[in-house]
This record gives sequence, structure tokens and C-alpha cells, in this order.
Amino acid sequence: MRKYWVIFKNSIQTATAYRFNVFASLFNELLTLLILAYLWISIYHQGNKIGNYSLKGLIIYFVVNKFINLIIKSLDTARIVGEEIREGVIINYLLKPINYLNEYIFFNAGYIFYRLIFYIFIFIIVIFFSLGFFDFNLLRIFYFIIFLVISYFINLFIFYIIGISTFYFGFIMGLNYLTQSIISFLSGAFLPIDLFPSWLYNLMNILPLKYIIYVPISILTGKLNFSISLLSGGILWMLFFYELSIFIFKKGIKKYEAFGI
Amino acid sequence: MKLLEFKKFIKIWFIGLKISFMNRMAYKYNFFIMAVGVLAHMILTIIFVKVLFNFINNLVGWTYEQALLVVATYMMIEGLMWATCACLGGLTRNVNMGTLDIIITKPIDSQFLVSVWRGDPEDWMRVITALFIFSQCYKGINIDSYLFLNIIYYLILLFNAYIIVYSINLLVKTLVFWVIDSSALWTITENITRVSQYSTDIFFHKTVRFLFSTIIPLAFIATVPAKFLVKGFNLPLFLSSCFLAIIFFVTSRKFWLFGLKHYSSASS
Repeated sequence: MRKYWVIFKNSIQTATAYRFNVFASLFNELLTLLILAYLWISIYHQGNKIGNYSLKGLIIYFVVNKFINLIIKSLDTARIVGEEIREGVIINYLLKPINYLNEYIFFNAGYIFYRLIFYIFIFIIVIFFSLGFFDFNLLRIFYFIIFLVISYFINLFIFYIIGISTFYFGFIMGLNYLTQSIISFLSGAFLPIDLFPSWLYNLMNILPLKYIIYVPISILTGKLNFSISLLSGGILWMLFFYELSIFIFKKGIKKYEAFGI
Repeated sequence: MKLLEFKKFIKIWFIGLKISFMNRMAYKYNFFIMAVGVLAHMILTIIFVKVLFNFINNLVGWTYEQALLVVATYMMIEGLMWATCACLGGLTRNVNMGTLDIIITKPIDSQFLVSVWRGDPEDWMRVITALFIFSQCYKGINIDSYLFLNIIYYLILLFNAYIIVYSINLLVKTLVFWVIDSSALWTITENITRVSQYSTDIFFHKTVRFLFSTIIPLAFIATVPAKFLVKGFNLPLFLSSCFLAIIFFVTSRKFWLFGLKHYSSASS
């Protein structure tokens, strides 16, 4: 465990070297948030209503959405893992007594921890100003954190799997882009998934993507109530992707020919 | 002499595009999946608009077909930017890798060479999708006796929009000369220009509308060209578009030259 702690600390130190990126990402997300807010305000000022969402409800949805984006999607996992395999850097890890997936999780966690320090204050301010609009309570925030952790791991494992697909495909830039596009949309990052046509919404209810954005936000805003079935569903999907990533890595490493070193 | 110079630039541009295509073809499956990814992204954008219009009749006066014309215009510009110069990806990459020296020591304009260093051929899919949307949105177009002229004006505005987006990219990405890790610069320009896929009429505050019409002229990327197809010719908007394209291009050029003076090589 100690070796992973060192990786975690190193990752924080690396992140501090690139402070510009942290501020630039924040600027990015705030800019897109501003635009989306204008879009929704324009629609609601015309007297329209989107589904059963109030204007404030939609804006809060996208504020939390941006917070999740800043935290769980801050590193391009598939690209990082894919490049390490393609360029042969992964050999360095294979020769050491460390697990590559654990190493990556701790590296990623360090980076996210550093970002969290910046963004948590903004998020707390938003929560504070939203107190009048929503039934935020400590229990909901606690459940939100649990589902945020599930969201983080499901997202990480999916893109880790895309990354280690480099063992088979050699280059996964296209696959990464395709997956990012689909996941962004179907996880509820563009629109809450309960606004989708009913057939698509029903399909999304079966699939795990809703756990990445829609479920954590809906738990926080009270749109969804916490239930054991919802929680166990998320944990099962998380374990499924974890096992799948272990399986694909084991198979892939057998056919891996280290090139590029 | 000028013509020969121009021919040389065009030739180098095409060679750059050819090399980019050959690079992509080294991983054929990746190229095709990338093209599918681009297509999927475009389709999802259309679905987003479609879902939105399931709840509304118009978006600040734009009907579904007209709103799609704005989206298609944005797709066209975005597609051309990626396909012809990869949104200046060559600049950030070469500075980070320490290979910019190879480019700036060539006997040709460095800004031009760094711009055409890379093009993403799969992004022609955006242009094709945009053309397909146009064919589906003819209901939103103002079909009158001036249609042909309006299309000509639209193409001129599209060219201006390309110059504006290129200049915004150059202005932001030139910051790479001062910033160590430039990966965030990518998303900044992408997110700024992505705003233009919505009609800028949604900005009902005068100050914000002024901001997005002049300082960051997003209105002139997709909304104004689409307006020419929907409502016909508008002289003040036409002249403003031409003026802004010139101003932005000249400013970004000056900033590029200024940034270049501050470049310190990392390769040697």
C-alpha cells in the first residue's frame, strides 16, 4: 500500500506543476455552463418548459454536471493508458512489483484530489446558494458522494478498458473519441436522460451509463430517491467493469509485443 | 511572382493534407472508427436539438429547421477547421515536443507551415453531415428570387467565419509559448467556438450579445451566415463580418509574431 501512496503523492506534485490547466478547465466548464444557462433561460422566458424540470432545476442539474466533469473526467484515461502501451512505457510497470491498474488508479486519484481542493469551494458556494430551491440535506449529500465514487470508478474502468484495447488494436484514438461521444450523451451530460424518448430512457435504465452523470445528480437534487437496488446496481456494474478490465488486461498482456523502446 | 508564391503555398498545403491522410491510414481501423465517432457526435448533436424541439416550437424565433441550419453551419466550419489545419494542433504539439525549430527554420512563412502541419481527414465527415442537414432543412431556407445570391453571400460569410475561428485558435494557442502544458488550450478554443452552434440570439442581455458579436465574435461563425439563408441579405452584418475577419486575422498574426519572439527551444 505504501508504494501506491508514493504514487498518489507524486501525482499531486505533478498536478501542481500544471496549475494553468486547472484554471483553464474551470474557465471551460464555467463558459459552457453560462451558455447552457442562457439557452435554458431563453427557452423558459418564452413560456416553455422542458419535461418536468423547472428552470432552476435544469440549471442546478448542469452546475452539478460540470462539477462531476471537472472531477471524474479530468484525465483522459484511455489516451494515457493507450499511449503507455503503444510507446512501450508500460514495460516499466510490468517489471516492478506493482499492479498496473492500481498504479493508474492512485495516479488518477492524486490528480483528482488536487483538483478537488480547487473546485470543492466553488461547489459548496453553489450548494449554499441553491439551498432555497432544493431539499439538500446532509443525507442526500452523503448518498451523492457514494454515487459519485461509483460514477468515478465506472467511468475510469470503461476508459481503462478502451485504453488497454491498444493491446489488440494498436491505436485507440478513434475508439476513445467514439466512446466519449456516446457516453457523454447517454450518461446525461447533454440532457437529463428522463427527457429522452421513452424507448431510449427505458434502454438507459438497463445500461450502466446513467450512473456516470444522471444518477448522482438526481440523487443530490431529490429527483431520485436512494434505494438499495439503485446502489447495488451501481456497485454490480462497477465490479463488472473492474473484472472485465482485469480479464482484458491479462489476455492482452500475453499477446503484447513491446514496441517503441 | 505572387501567383507562383500562392501556388507554392497551395501545393504545400495539399502535401500536408496528404501526409496527414497517410499517417491516419497507418491505422486503418482507427481511421474508420474515428470517422464513425465523428458521425456519431454529429448525430447526437442533431438528436439533442430534436429532443429540445419536442418541448418547444421555436428557439428565440428560430424554427427546428432554422436551428438545424445554424448547427449545420457550425459543423461545416468545425469540420473545415479540423480537416484543413486540425485547429492548429501542429503548433501546440510541436512546441511541447520541441520540434518547432524544424518548422520555423524552413524557408516559408512559419505561421502557414505550422497551420498546415496537420489535418484530420476523418473530420470531412462533419462537412458531409452538414451538407446532408442542409438538404433536409430546405424548409427553413428563405426561397425567393434572390436565393442564388444569398447562397453566394452565405459562402463568403462562411469563409469569413473560417478566418475568425482560425484567428481565435491562433490567438489562444500562441499562448503555448508561455505555458508549459498546453492541453487545456485545446479545450478552451473548442468550447468557445462550440457555443456558436446555438443561435447567439439566446443572449438576451445586450452586454453579453455585444461581447459575443465583437470581442469574441461567435455570432459571425454560424448565426449570421444562417440568417442570410433564412432572412436574406443584410448589409451591416455582411460588412461587419468582413471587417471582423480582417481585424481578427491581422491581430492574431501580430500576436503570433510576438509569441514567436518569446519562443525558447526545448529540443537542444
